[in-house]
Amino acid sequence: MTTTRTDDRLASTAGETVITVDSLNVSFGSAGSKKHVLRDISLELKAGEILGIVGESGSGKTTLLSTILGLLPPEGRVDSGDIRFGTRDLLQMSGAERRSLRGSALRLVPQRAMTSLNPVRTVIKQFQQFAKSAGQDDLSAEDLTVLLRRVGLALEPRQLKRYPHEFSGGQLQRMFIAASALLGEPSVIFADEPTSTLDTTVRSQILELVRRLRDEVNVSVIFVSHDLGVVAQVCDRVLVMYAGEVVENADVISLFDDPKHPYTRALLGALAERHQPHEMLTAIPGKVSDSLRIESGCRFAPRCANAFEPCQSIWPADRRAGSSLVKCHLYGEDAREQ
Amino acid sequence: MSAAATPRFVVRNLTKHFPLRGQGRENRVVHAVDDVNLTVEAATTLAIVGESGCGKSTLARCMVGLMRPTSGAILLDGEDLTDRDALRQHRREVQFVSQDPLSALNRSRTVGATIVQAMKVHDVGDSSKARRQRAGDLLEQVGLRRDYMGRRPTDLSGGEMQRAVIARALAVEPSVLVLDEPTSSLDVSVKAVIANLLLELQATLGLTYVMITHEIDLARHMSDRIAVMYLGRVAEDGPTVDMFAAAGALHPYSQLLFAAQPLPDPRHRRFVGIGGEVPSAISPPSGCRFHTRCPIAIDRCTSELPLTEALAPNHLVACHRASEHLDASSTPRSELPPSSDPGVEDALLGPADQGDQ
Repeated sequence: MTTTRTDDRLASTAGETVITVDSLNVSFGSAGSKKHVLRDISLELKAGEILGIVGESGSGKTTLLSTILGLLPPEGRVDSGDIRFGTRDLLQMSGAERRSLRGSALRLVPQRAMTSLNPVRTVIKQFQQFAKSAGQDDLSAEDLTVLLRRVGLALEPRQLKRYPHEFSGGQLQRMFIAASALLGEPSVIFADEPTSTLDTTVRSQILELVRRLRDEVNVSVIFVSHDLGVVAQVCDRVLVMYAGEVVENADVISLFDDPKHPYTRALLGALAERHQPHEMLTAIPGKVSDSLRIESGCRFAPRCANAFEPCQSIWPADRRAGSSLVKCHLYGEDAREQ
Repeated sequence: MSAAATPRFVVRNLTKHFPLRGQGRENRVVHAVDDVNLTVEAATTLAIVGESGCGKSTLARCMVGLMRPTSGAILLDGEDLTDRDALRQHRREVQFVSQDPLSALNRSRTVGATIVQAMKVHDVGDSSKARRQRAGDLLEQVGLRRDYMGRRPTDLSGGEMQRAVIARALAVEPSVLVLDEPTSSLDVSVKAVIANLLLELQATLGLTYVMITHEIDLARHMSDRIAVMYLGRVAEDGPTVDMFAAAGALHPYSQLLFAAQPLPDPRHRRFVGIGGEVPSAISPPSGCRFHTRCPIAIDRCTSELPLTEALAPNHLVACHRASEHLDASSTPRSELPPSSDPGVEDALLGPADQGDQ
């Protein structure tokens, strides 16, 4: 039933697609109170790429991550679409197969390292557990100190017998990143807001670490964040999510130089860095909850400054705008019809 | 502002130590805030920035009278608020807007009742009717509808709750607002809305703000002065425009902190860090508290506490080496090693992270 661990790692050649999500629809709740939380999500993660997923609360970025990893809560349901890891269809796999992939080929770096570790087990014991799921059966304290030195943590073997609370948040996050990137042979690291609870100077170091390890071990990364500054610093390609949809998919330079979707433009306009001191920032009227129930038409239309006639009634499928994909009627024809 | 006028809000030699309890700890204290001096002119904004554990929230709590300082003074228009009688008389004038709006509001009360209660406590308004009228006006002033009077905090979004908290603070006609991370729990677009609201209210009501934040971009946008704190002390305190001008910040910690802010610009990538961990506030380092992590520390820094000096007009710095760099008209930044990563402007600084706590 399970495949051997060595098969789980994809032979990653640059440019090859590691994760493919195709027209994914996910809903929460049953018939009466059904919420369509992910609508028509498509993405491709290339080998060695850092793909950013950026959005505000309620955009569905964490749900998307959970769906790919097979960690949707019980009330969540995949209505349609495909998720593939290489050529393997993740949605057709058994629970046991998906479990064995998590921790071996697919790794998660959580938002809060502290609460994701067991507070009453020593760090070394927890790492040995991680190593086991990664297919590395015995991990000695010496091996671990060597490994942690690669992420900038100089610890003595005796210090590894300490408990999580004896380390700082930055140290624990480095440990998680070491575990996800350097134990066994990972293909994809899923980082869910890995720096949002860290201090400015620590965050910057962690971002550098993510980029460096990506280069060193050629792993691919899906990096979820609400912080546009962080996304600009670390990602190669970015998906902007709004109310359960990917409204813009662009390489990082195009996204910040020439944002296409009115929502992306509004988000960038809301940043203090793009304004003179004391100047009024560009605000987005309304709130996300106004958009989640919309089934026909564009979900951003009620808050959009550029909305016109078709936006209320016709759902905008992806359109090409330069090198970007945008769900917006401002950009001509449906890409799939061209 | 004439030079002779009394500044609106002054923190003088403020120290807050928390004694430790338990055997063998009798004489040990946590040095949360040590000898802090700050001045805020009327209708301006002072931003206090720093990372976790720098003492900025303790300082804020002392400023609004939620905590009694170990020593030092807090002067509002020249009146010392550490004196209990003066505090009772003037508490209304300095209001607090906390980081987490949901915990700052009573969940079982309506927003209107909470605002009216604040007025009652401080004896503002003549009758219940007048208070309710004013509460409605305040909600409109912060951009909420009057019918929010009857709603409970849990029915509100994060941005709406923060507006309600601001309305309650304004209800008692304060002259100073101490804002503790006013936007850090909010989404990007909501953050912008609250920042705009605070700027508008300052312009119309002439409010004085002390804003505690770890968000350098927000501090830069909103403030007239920035004070940078590290391990209980003010490292640098200067006009915001100077801090981000060509010469920039003068203290090595401020320089690193500002440079570590991730810019929303993929063409300018830089990864800046500080080696090691923040030392313990129970036994802070001798001399300059930053010397254990400072890339340009010299022997003198380990033993001698740097005095706070005005190195430029209104620009105070506590660093033994800041003046020599200013004289040489090259900032310490030029000493930073070049990066090994071609896409990166500045390199990671300092020694490898030490595991010892």
